[in-house]
Amino acid sequence: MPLSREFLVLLGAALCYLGGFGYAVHSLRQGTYRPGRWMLLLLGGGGLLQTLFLRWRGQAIGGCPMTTPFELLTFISWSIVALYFIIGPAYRLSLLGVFTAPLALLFQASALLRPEALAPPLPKITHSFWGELHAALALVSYGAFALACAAGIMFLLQDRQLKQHRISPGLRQLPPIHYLTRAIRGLLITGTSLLTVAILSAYRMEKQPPTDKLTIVWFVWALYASLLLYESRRGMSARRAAAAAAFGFLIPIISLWFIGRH
Amino acid sequence: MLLCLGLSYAHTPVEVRERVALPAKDLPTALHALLELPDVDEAVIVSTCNRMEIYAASPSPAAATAQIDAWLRLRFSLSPDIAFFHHHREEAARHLFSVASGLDSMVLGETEIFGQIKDAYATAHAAATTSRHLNKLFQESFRIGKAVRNNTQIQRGSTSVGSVAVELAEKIFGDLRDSHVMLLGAGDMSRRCAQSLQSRGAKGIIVSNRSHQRALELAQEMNGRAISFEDWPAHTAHVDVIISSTAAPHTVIHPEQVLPSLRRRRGRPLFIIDIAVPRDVDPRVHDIEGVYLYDIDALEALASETRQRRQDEIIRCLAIIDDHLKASPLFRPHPFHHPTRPHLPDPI
Repeated sequence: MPLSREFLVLLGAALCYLGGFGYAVHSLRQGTYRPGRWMLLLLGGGGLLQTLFLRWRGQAIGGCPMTTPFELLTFISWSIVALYFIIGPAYRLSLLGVFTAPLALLFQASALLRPEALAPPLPKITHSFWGELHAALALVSYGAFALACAAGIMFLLQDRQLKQHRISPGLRQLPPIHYLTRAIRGLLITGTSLLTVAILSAYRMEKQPPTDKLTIVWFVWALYASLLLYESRRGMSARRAAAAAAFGFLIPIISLWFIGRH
Repeated sequence: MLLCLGLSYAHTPVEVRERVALPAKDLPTALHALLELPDVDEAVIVSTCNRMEIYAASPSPAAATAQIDAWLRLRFSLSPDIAFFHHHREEAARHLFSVASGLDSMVLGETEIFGQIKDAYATAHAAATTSRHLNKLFQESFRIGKAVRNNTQIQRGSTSVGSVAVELAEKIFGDLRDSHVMLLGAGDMSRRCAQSLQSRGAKGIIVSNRSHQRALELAQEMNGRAISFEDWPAHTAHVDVIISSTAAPHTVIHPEQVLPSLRRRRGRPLFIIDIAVPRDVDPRVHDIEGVYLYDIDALEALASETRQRRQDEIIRCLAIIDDHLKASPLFRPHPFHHPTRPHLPDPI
């Protein structure tokens, strides 16, 4: 069976992210990594191909393309890359690309491996504004949590080396840990705020999502909201915040799997 | 044909180097004097605190080398026992490429020499003492110097205790312009360390010393402010870097003094540099989350690691230079063209 043009553009996007990841790993090992046009070209190229897919698929189904787990995973991968271009420069985290590329690849490859990736889009249905807002914002918030996870891993790697009085040539080029601390906080606030709006949108939908699905989204929200609340009220070491952002992302991943099943 | 002749820190003591050092203002005159020699057609002089080297183009390099040697001895009244190194053709080019890449520097891989060679070439070019051969040679050296630095780790990392401290501070805080520094003890080493941080933008220097008068003097020198030694723990919440070098025979910074400030720091890390011997800071301070303590041994170990890594990179650097030399148009067989004086500079 010939592959559809939609599948091919997403395959191209996945290859771009794979190339970005390979380039970053190779040059970090060599100690010569310079975040520059190659990483931007590869991430930007992948993002553009995904945008093309989302446009085609959106036109086909007459709404936001988030009707199947294949589309959901692609949308998250796209959100991660979009947030990288928005958040990265704001926090002077050009090296976030090193971690953005594998994350985007992970989600995009998972999407392409889904059985419905080769299936034609679902027929046009009536979409509700609140429903689409809910889904889109929830997925973008997951993208923010994914980037916070990446920044958290970068922090933990460096913190460990600084505590061991070592700086390996590869890690020497990672962003300063204070910038990462600020980025993690910013990304968690962004993600939690978007998820708050996403949950509130769900209650404006004519036909509300199933209770178990909403419960798990509330659970994810509660996790990050309590983390931020604790951090602001009691104070939290940067290391613990980074660990929470890095390992806490497992919960959204599990929730995605759960939502995907329903 | 290319040649180079000179002396450097490797084989010549500073007493001799300082005698042959040429100030920038004297270079054009010296360059023109070199071109007065019968067999010298082009000349560039690289004169720094570590080396004085003359690069020249000549149809008979052996004669030109002897003439330049004699000119140097006469000009600087040097005794015959002072020897100059000299290289011809590819070896002269290889030497310049090594120097431009920082491979011949006292601090292996340092970058300052690259700028100094550029300045030397610009001076010679402006004085019209370069032409086809040296223009090509020096342009090639800039290209190779960049290639070596971009493709190897020869210039990465810091090689001295002070620069390691600055690098670590930047690794932790990024831009140091928002960083505040506190000095405990007013020793010379802590002053130099703080000056290094200041040169990278650190501000708000606080000095605390058992002798308050000494603290006041150092604070004035560094545009900071002095506090009494008893008050320093109250300031740990507001500073980012603490440099400690008191002469105390026991530790003066303990976890109990650092812990209360952590909550007010709101996750902002604290970098403590302990350059005192015996140490000023209780090693348990390093176990506190968000606090990074480096004593003199830890800093020296990092500097030494970098120096070793740079040594290990030399082979890769030399391979890059060899590859460029093989491909260089400078040494493809061609008849030697004797330029006609006066030399007209090629456009840079």
